[in-house]
Amino acid sequence: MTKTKLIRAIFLIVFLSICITGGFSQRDEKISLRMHRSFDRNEQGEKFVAWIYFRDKGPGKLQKMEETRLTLNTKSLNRRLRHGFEDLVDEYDLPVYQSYLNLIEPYVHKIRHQSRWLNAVSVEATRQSLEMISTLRSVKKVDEVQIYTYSDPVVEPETEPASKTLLAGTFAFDYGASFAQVDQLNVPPLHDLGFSGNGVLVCMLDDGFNNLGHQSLDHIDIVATWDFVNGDPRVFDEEGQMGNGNHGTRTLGTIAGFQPGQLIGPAYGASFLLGKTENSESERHIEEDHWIAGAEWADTLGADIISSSLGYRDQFSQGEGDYSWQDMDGETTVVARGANIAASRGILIVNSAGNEGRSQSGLNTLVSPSDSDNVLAAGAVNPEGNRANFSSIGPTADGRIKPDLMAMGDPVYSASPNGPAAYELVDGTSFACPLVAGVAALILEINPSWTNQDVMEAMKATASESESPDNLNGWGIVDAQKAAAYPLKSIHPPKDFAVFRIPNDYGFFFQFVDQLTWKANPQNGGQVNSYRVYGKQLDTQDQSFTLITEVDSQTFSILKRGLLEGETYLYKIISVNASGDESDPNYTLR
Amino acid sequence: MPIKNIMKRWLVLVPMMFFSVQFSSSAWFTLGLNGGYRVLNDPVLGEIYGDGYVYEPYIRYSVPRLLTLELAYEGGYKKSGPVGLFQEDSTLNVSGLQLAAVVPIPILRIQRVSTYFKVGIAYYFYKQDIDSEFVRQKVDHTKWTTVIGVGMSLHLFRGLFLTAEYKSIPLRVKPFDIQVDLGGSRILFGIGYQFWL
Repeated sequence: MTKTKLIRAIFLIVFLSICITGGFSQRDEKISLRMHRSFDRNEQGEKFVAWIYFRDKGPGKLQKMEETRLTLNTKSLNRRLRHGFEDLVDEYDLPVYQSYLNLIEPYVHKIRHQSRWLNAVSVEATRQSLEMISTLRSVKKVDEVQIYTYSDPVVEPETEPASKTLLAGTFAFDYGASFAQVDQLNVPPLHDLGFSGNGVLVCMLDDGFNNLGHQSLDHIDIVATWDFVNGDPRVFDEEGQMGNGNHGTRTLGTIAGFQPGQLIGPAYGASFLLGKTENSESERHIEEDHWIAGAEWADTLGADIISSSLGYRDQFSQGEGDYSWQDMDGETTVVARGANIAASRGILIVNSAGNEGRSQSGLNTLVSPSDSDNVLAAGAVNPEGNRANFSSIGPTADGRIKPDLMAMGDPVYSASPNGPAAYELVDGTSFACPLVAGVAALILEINPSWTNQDVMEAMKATASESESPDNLNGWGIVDAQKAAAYPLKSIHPPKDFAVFRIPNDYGFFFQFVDQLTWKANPQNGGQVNSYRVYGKQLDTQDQSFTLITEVDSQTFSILKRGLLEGETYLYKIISVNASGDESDPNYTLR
Repeated sequence: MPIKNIMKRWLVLVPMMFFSVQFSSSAWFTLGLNGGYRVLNDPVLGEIYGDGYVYEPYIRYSVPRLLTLELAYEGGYKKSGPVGLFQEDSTLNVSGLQLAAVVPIPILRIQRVSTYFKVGIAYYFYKQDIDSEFVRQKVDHTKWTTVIGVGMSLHLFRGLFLTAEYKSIPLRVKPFDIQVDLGGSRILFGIGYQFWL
């Protein structure tokens, strides 16, 4: 071999090496760290459940949008119109591009769900297949489908609540043992006026719904059902199928049960979609792709409200693949992202705050998607209105107040899955959630032009602790009557109002700086002229808010300096329009 | 009794006893001025203010074959630097009074050159001024500490001499939550004059 040939050969080898290693590194970058960890934990040849995200939705967007518009039902279109969705559909509504699906199909064992919102599919596939798929140009990312758990409800021995006899006859209905849980929310006066959630479509996402022939449930207008775990329309337990649907029976009974003298839920007259999205086997684990699929289904069928008692616990899967408290920022988890998209379509989402109580570290114990600013996180109180010890607390990782609202969850009287006339007392934020969702349905029935944000605003502004929300009880216990009659302002508070405390090291001592951030509320359009930020120190005698600053409409962050350790501040922010009209406040606490 | 109180008493009592008992024609005084460079041990404050120059006037009272006592003031360390998240202007001032026993250690057999060792107590003042309307804590504190050093003198003529000295003064302080090390070693050079009363 001549010297020239040798040099050429060396160059060729180097060039090929760069190409090959470059190709592999690109592939590796597409597989998430979480997925890699999962690969490492499991044996070769084992099947993994993964999200495959695509780069785009393929060519011909305009035509596809036109076609998609035709697939949405009237209720869904009306809801979007009410929420100012001028084009009615957007890119999120376009289905996953079929050609991309065709490309991955030969490699996977099973395609579980397609998500048009995430532009992704969840699949079951081996490591080798996923690595192969990650090399496709159309694939943007491969990530693990996260698995959550939720706490089993505690079923208490049936007792006779004192309220049953004491207050019988005060209202048109005899609420029986369920009186305390609806009376605490001021629901009976609205029932007396004839409101029951009629015309409102509520989607329940739960682990299945057994015993739908129960005497308190058989009146319910069930518009559609779907079992996202097993892929069929039957949401009750079936031989050989995954899941146990007792939890859903209880949550459905809580919101919509109607058996005078026994159980009357706040929205007994609403219509329902029942989605089985949780595979509650012995470990009671639930997978996020089912929830996303359920939420998209609810959107397509025109749901106004999603009530979900999804939970998360970080000890699952040895804690390695799970989301941590730091991911509870309303934007990180897949379900929070899905919930945000659902909310942008006008769906009001109510989610249980979680049953994890207070952590020793003082950090949040929230479950996702209750960490989202677009989701009402429902915490649990007892009949006296005190927070239940198990009810999860905030703030979110990005410093927003959570939970949002409280309702009874310690205990709640509901339909039992164990017989056509059986009832039971159960504990958990899972049951506070349908109570809050039920009130939301009443408010929407009374105020059909209200947006999901309007309902959230009214419920918060009229709840028991609306003047001084905190991270234990949020804005407090819901007041259905006040919220339904709440005079909405023409201008809305900014969203995602959050506070971060930053240490300021002066060498001999620390002081602290609170960084307050917020986002423009899309409902305001361009009518905000300025934002006024107020603060009050909670551990002092003076409990009045003082104006910290007023900033223009393009400023979304300020600093409050000179704070000492241990000083707690409650901040509120108000949008102001050109006429000087003020919005309701949004709060954050540090 | 707290060590601080004991040290305070000694600072007053020892010179009084020493002067009253030993004041005689055989005793002599020394006046001197040292100047030099000091290190600031604390890594955080060291980044902000850094090491710096100091001056040190002193007076010694010596009784032959017994002891030499030195009372000195260290000043001059006043340095500025930007501090905190917002890089606000600030100044750190550290100064102190020292009372030390100076003991000759004849390790060098060179004419006109003497070596010595010193050990004593010191009372230090430290103050940080930050030019910020937001700062609510004020650092203006004092602390008792110890001082040790070694030095050498070159005697010129008629009681005039030059000195070179190494000193170490620990000064760990905690005016608020954070412990800060304001201590550090010093290299000093100076001139002195001995005279008999």
